[in-house]
Parts: sequence; structure tokens; C-alpha cells
Amino acid sequence: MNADDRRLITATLAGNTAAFGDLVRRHQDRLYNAVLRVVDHAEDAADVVQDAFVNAYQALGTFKGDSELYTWLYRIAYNLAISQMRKRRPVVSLDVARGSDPTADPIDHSADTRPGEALERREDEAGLFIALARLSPEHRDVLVMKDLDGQRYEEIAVVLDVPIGTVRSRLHRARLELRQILEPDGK
Amino acid sequence: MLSEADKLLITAGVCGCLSRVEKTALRILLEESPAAKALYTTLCHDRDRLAAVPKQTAPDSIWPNVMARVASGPIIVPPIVPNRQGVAGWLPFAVAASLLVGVTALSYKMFLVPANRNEVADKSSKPIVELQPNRISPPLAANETTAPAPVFVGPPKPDTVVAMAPLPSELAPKPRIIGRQAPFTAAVPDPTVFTTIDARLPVLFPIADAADAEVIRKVKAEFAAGNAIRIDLFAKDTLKAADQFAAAVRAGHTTLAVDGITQMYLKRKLRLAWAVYTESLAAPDALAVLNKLAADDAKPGATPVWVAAHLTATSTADGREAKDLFGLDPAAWKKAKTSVKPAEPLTAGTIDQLTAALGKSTPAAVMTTFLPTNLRIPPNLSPQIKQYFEEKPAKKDGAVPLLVVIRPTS
Repeated sequence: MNADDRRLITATLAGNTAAFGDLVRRHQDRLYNAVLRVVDHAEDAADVVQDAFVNAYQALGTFKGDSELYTWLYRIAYNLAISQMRKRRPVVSLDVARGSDPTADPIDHSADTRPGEALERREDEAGLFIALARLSPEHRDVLVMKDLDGQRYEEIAVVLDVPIGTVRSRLHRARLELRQILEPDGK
Repeated sequence: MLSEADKLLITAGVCGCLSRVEKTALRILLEESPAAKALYTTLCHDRDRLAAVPKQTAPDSIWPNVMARVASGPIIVPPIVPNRQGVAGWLPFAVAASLLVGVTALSYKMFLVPANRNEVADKSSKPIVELQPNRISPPLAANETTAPAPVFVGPPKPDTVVAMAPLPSELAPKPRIIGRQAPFTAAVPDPTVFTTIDARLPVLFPIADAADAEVIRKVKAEFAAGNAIRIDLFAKDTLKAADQFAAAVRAGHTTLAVDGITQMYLKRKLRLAWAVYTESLAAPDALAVLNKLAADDAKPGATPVWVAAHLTATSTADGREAKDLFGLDPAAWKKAKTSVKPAEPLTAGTIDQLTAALGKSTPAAVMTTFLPTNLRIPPNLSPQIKQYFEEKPAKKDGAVPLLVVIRPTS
């Protein structure tokens, strides 16, 4: 486990609430991004992340430290996200790539961007997210964890509570399924 | 057309989670198959697109909301529950062991002790025990008027009060046959079962003696049995041995395909063990190969390479090895017999033979490395092994499934 995480957990368990605030700051962006791709809705993702942190705080004494803190947080958030998705009707949202505001432009860090490139990229991302949303949940989850969130096989196996071989085979099917969905557009 | 195994290898490669052998297999696959390379490139592009999606910043409301909720409630640490797993873990075993000991003891008492007691009781009821005057037997009852007259059987000894009269000799009973139903006893096999034993011993001979009449007779007998055969060829230098064996096989017009990883090992001059599988060698062909190897060794100035050959009908363990090495079904392999084809016209198959002769030669044998699984390519990922089993020629008359292992002597 990361040394900074360990130090902050120890401080939190000793009663230092501010230390937990630091933990939230360290992991909230990554956790939010990963959950956003699972629930496919910005407000739901924010709720899930918030609940996940509170649950983690209350159960912090049970965290044994045998995995990364982020993996543990992600597991809590993932279970909450699944519950959240069961509560609401499945919808496909095109605004997830741009956050909660569907009219906002994507962040453009390039000063010399070609005219129209932002639009092309936005369309490309929208197509990608529509394809992701059309995947079966178990395939989408492993792809999000592996490619978007950069988790390793072992971490994904811990979060999903499945053997590593299952993670590998699910990723195999997910990649081929995603390709099949993207193929008709030639993308 | 890519197989499912190829696709699995490609997607695992896209994830970047491959073992060293798998990386090599993937490299070979991408070099040999344009379709595989195209799929790999496309999937890598998809992966990069997903990874390049701009990251969102978490809403600013998350942190204050979490901290507000955290401030209102303390950390709930669940109480430490004493672990009873240790006690509960061994207790069932202890109870089971106690029960077993108890049942064993009871069975012993029921089956053996009562019988002994009855025998003792029967014998003691007979008037064979006589007492001396100063006996220690129970005193006479009040209404007992006369005691049996003691019989003097020898000079009195101090403190000796009991003497045994000689027991009448009896014939020993016939030994009882213990059936399977008797607990804690082994069934006595019927001795008549083992009247004859047909023992088949493996054939072990120096390769230099391959032309010996006795060796030829034994080898032909093994092939005639029709079962799958394994031949272990022991060599001093397995690298030269592989070359010579391949040349000897090809000299008999049998095309030998070599797996890609094995080719790489051979190019790097690694002295490993090798395995060859074929269904195209009958006894004369196998003997011709062995004779060629012996002749190579016997050439003037040649350094002897070959030592001995060990030929045996395959066992279950060999079947497992063949499955690991070549993906063969052990059951089907063991049962494979030389089939007698129905009568065909003389021209039957001529077109096929001409096509085969004009076109690309179909491999009739395939070679791979005889190494642990993690050091060689799995058979389903080897194009050469797959090609062999997809296109292998019909089994030759008199040929049997043959696994040849070329291995070092030490």
C-alpha cells in the first residue's frame, strides 16, 4: 500500500478527520471518473462517490491494507454503483463525456487546435461512449477498469471478486464486442 | 480466419499481460498472419482511444459533503470477535477420529474377544482342572457335602495349586474364507485368477543394434499390436540428434513440420529435448529411421550421437504428455487402430495424390520441444501443430500413433 495512504489512514483512525479529507482529495477525481463510466450519469456518479467515501470512513477500521486503498475504495463504490443502477431505468446519456453540462465544450489544452477538430473529437468520444453503453454491464465494467482507469488484472479481480482468468476472458470478449459495435461506423 | 485461441492471445497482448512465451507466440502470429496483425492494430487503437478520453474533475461538492457527513459521525470500528475458527477447525476431526477408534475397538471386541471367551469357557467346563489340597478355589457351599476327589498329577510345589491335564488333541479347523463384508479385513483373492500372466516388457536396445534380427522382431511385434507407441531416443548431443532425426525421417519421404518456437530454439543451438508425433511410420519405416541414425554414427570420423532406444506401448502418463505436447485426446489416441479400408478402384485417390505431389507438401510428422508447459508454446497456439492435425494424411497401413522423444542421456 502507498506510504502516504498508510500515514493518512493511521492519522484518521487516531481521530484526525482532516487526514481523511486529504484521502478524499487524493482519490476523488480518479474514483469519480471510473464510477462515471459505470453509472453513465454525472449526478449519480457524484452521489455514489460521496456515499463510497462516507462508507469507507465508517469501515476504515476494517481495512487490512492487503490491497491498495484505491482498490478498496473502488470496490465499495462499484457495489454502490451497481445498486444505484438497479434503482433507475437504464438510459444512454451522451453528456457523460462533457460532465453534467451537455452544452459545455470539452477542455481544450491545445492553443493551436484546428478549426473543427474539437467537434470531431467530441463526436468520436460520443460514439465511443455510446458503444460502451451498448456493451453488457460485465464487459463494460472490465473495460472501464482496465483501459479508462488503468487497473491491473489483480486489482480488477479483487473488485469484481472473480479469478484473474475470468477477468482475462471477460476483457477478451469485451474488446471483441466493442470492436463489433464500432465496426459498422468504420471507426 | 483466426481461431478463438489466436484472438485470445491478441486481446491479452492488447492488455499487455502476457508471459514471455506468450509474447513470443504473439510475435510469431503477428508476423505470419496479416489478419491477426490487423485485428491487433485495431484493438490497440480502441484501447488507446479509451485511455485518451479526457479525465473529468470530480464536482467540487463532493469534498465538503463528505467532510460534513464524516464530521457528524465517528469511525465505526467493529468489535473484535474472538476467532473460534481454531477450535471449530480441529473439533470435527477429533470427534471423527474418536469415533473411528471407538468403532474399531468395538468391532475388535465383537468379532474376536467373544469367540476366545467362548472357547475358554467351553474348555474350563471340562473336568480337567484338578486342585491340590491347599487349593485356593472358592470354599464349598454349606449344602455341598462332597467335593470331587483331587487327582495327584505331580509332586507338590510350594504355592503351586493348579495343574493342567493334557488336552485331547484336535484337528485344526479349516481356515474360514473371509469375505468382503467382514470389516477391517482384506479380501483373500482367488488364487486361480493368476494362473497365467502375459507380461509385455519394453524393448530396450542400443541404436547401433537396430539392424539386429531380435530387435527387428521385437519392434515389429510392438507395431503389430496396433497400440500407440512411445520411443525414447537417448542421445549425447540432442541438437545434432534433432538434425539427424529430421534428416532420417525426411529420407523416408515423410515431411516433418517443426513448431515455430522449436525452430527458434534450434537456431539458437539450444540442446533441449524434442518430441515428434506421427501416424505415418509403420514398423519398417521406423526401423529404417533407426538404421539411418545408426549409420550416421558409424560413419568414419563421425562423433557418435546416439546411445539407446527405449520402445514401449504407451501408458496413461504418456497420454497426458501427448495431450500437453500436441493437444491430443489420450483416449482416442490409445484406441487408434489401423483400419482396414474397403476395396477401392485403382484410380481412387489419384487426383488427391497428384495434387499433393504438385502442391505444398502436407506434413506427416510434427516436432516440438519436450519441455515443461511454461517453457514452450501451448499446442493450440502453434500454427505448425494446428496445421498438422488439420491436414495430416490418412494413417498409413501398419502405422500406429507414434510419440518419439529425443532426450539427453544425463
